[in-house]
Amino acid sequence: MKTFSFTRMLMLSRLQFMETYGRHPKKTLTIASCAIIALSLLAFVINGWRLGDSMEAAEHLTYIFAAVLSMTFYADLVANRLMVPASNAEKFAALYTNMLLITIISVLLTATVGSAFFSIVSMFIDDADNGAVILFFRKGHSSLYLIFMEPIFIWLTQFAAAKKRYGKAAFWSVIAGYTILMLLPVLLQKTGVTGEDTARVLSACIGGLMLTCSIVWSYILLKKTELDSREND
Amino acid sequence: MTELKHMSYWYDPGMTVIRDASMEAAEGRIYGLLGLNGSGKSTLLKLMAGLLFPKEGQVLHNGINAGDRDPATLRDIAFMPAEISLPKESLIRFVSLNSVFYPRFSRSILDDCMKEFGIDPETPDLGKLSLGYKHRFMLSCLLSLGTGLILLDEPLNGMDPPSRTIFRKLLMRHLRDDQTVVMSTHIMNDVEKIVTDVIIVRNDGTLFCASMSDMAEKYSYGISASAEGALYAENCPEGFRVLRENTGRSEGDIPVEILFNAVTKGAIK
Repeated sequence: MKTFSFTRMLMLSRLQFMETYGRHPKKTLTIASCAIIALSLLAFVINGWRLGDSMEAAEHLTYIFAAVLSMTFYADLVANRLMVPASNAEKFAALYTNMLLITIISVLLTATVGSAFFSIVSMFIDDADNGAVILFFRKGHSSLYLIFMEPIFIWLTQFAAAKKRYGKAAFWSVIAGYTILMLLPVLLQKTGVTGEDTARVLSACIGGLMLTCSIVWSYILLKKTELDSREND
Repeated sequence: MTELKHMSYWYDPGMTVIRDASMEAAEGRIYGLLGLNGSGKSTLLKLMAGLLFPKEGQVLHNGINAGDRDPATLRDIAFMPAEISLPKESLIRFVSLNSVFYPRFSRSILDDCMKEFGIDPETPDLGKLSLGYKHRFMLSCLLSLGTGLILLDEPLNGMDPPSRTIFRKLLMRHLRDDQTVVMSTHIMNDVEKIVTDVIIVRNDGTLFCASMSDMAEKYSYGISASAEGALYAENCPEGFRVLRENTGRSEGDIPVEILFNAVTKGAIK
């Protein structure tokens, strides 16, 4: 019977996190803060300096930022941690634990540093929403669902790495299938087949299904991961 | 004990790297893994570590499929790749974060190895170590983990001759009777002093596996003016270096290089 050790999972999570981002904490936090400010500025630029839209864009970009940082955990797992004495399930859980941790840190940084940036910039913008803002904790914040996109990002990274195993036709068929599924509720709504409420429910159901498939498939891909680069044999 | 059972592996169909390999890596033995460049030595080590899955056959460690990557199996296998990448963190932190997974980790063995190799225990950044020192540190770590199987891919790369001597000394000092070492190398002079067995990967992917004592019983080595009656012969300034059937019951050491050449050229099946 395979057992799952929570302690071992946490030990692996700590090992990965500390060796990836924990070497110089002050330096890492400074760089991350600068990245958040850069993302906030980008949000302003792409939204024409409209405060409300820019705040929402900054929140979305934070989740994407966290997803990109999470991919480094997966790369580290495959390159350096396959031989660590932990089961595949523990390695998988450690990956998700670190992903959640990095997302929380990114959100907190944006809520502090990003909010300060927005508050300062808003003083110079002639906008009805001017004033102090706290991103993610403001009224009208609606991007929490994006956190569930991160497992799909991880799956996409793994699936792309396993492209050779599946073959080009199968690979692009799956990507096309995922894309069509994601766009289906929008397409049905735009063509008048369904109303807005039905499209929203359908979107949630499809999102849940894709999330579940991604997590299960990710685990299977992790179990089948090989270090098959031909070095000096 | 690690077993290969009719195991084959290929990266691309039609280009088999390891072909129908069957062998047992027994406890208490030190195996020298030899082969020409590109013959599949690193591949074989990765298969034994469970980092690659055989296309045919099985790789078992203590009866369990190595590819399952069970924690109990992984706790008993230590693998050092040819290309070492160490994180940019202090030695103390690296050891404290990684050693917790190995219940048989020995701090005293690690300290002894680092002292012999001249590694500063307070090293602030492992990423800044030279290639030779990285190898020394990794070897020290692997010896201290206490695993049953130690797999070393070109462990002597970048190490100067005095360090290689120290490595041999530390291996003999700290290896337990129930531990197995499999190390691949191109530098045969260094391994022939310590290996008990050889595994030779032939160009066609098949394996030749034999103990050095068995080879010394079966064959005799010498330098002769004539190659007549020799199983295998090489020119040398004094005449020929020859390998013959051992009919005289004498047991002298067979140089690993001669054995390797004889096997890869088909003189010994």
